[in-house]
Amino acid sequence: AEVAPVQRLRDFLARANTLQAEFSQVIIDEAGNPGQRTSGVFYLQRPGKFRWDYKKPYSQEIVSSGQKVWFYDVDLEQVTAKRLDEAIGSTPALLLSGEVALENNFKIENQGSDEGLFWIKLVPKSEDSGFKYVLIGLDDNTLAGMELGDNFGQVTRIYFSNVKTGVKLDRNLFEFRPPPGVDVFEER
Amino acid sequence: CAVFEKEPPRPAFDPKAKNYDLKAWLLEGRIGVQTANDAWQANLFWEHDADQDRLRVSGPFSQGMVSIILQKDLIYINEGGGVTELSRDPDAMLKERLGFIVPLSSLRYWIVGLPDPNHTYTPIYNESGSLLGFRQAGWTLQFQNFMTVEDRIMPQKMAIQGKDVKLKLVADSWRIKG
Repeated sequence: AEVAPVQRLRDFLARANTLQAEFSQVIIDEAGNPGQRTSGVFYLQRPGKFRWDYKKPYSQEIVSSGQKVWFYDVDLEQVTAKRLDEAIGSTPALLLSGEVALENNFKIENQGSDEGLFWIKLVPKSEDSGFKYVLIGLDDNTLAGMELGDNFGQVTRIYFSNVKTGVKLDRNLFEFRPPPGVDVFEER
Repeated sequence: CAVFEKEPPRPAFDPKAKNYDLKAWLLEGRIGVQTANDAWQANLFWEHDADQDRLRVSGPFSQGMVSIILQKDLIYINEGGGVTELSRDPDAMLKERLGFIVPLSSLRYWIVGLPDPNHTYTPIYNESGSLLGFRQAGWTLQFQNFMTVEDRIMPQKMAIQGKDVKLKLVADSWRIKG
């Protein structure tokens, strides 16, 4: 029988202990106008470790060790470290990292297939989760895309390409050492 | 001719520059905030025209977005989910929501590289005598970088130091709309 997208997602999450992919991201405002495009490389190591290396048009790093998340903006020369569970913006990666028990935190719906991708829709059960829904797109059985709908009606689309799973990832990827001369703020 | 080429773009508040006639612009960039007990970075979207200022401050993946609309002395703040709050005291509302006070009426000028014409200011020069920024109403503005947009010189990187907050701003794009 046809494997339901939700099962595909579970299989993928169970199999993808580590993942590396290129990503490009665009935010589409509530009137449907696409805003700035950004792109870079995404790394994931379950549970809880991830890294978004934004390279274009500017350079930013979001690094999670599983306990702490560092946000580093190169132009702003500023690093802020927050606890993983409080870090705004850690949602997309956390969904993939297995840190979040999907069933108890989300209503999960099959969205069927579209443009050759199988889509799963996650609707947060808690009101103040900062977004209305997340769509995860799987290309036969590997991660292809994600989409976050926020409470303003904006949509953040992330396209993944060159996806490798099960690759050996350097431990240092998930430990952040601030470069010299940068303002660093760590939450006690 | 080498001297001319090397001459850095003229900081906007230099009398020969002309940003005071700016009526409408749109900035997309990033902001770094540092206060006594918190620090964060966010994407900043700021659209200005004669009637109002529309700002959007959001974290990564447009998470935790705050939408702010400013008209004269009225401020509307919306954090998504359909609840818009209104106040006649923009600076106080901002302090409550974003955790720091910055005079928004002056920030409109500072962000395009200009002192607020309603207050006096003192220019700041570096050792070689070129303009670095200015002090105004207890705030220190320093412009590290500029970019040319059409025939105007707009700030590309600036720092705004107040008594208990430091803001760093980087502009990714400016659109001059009038």
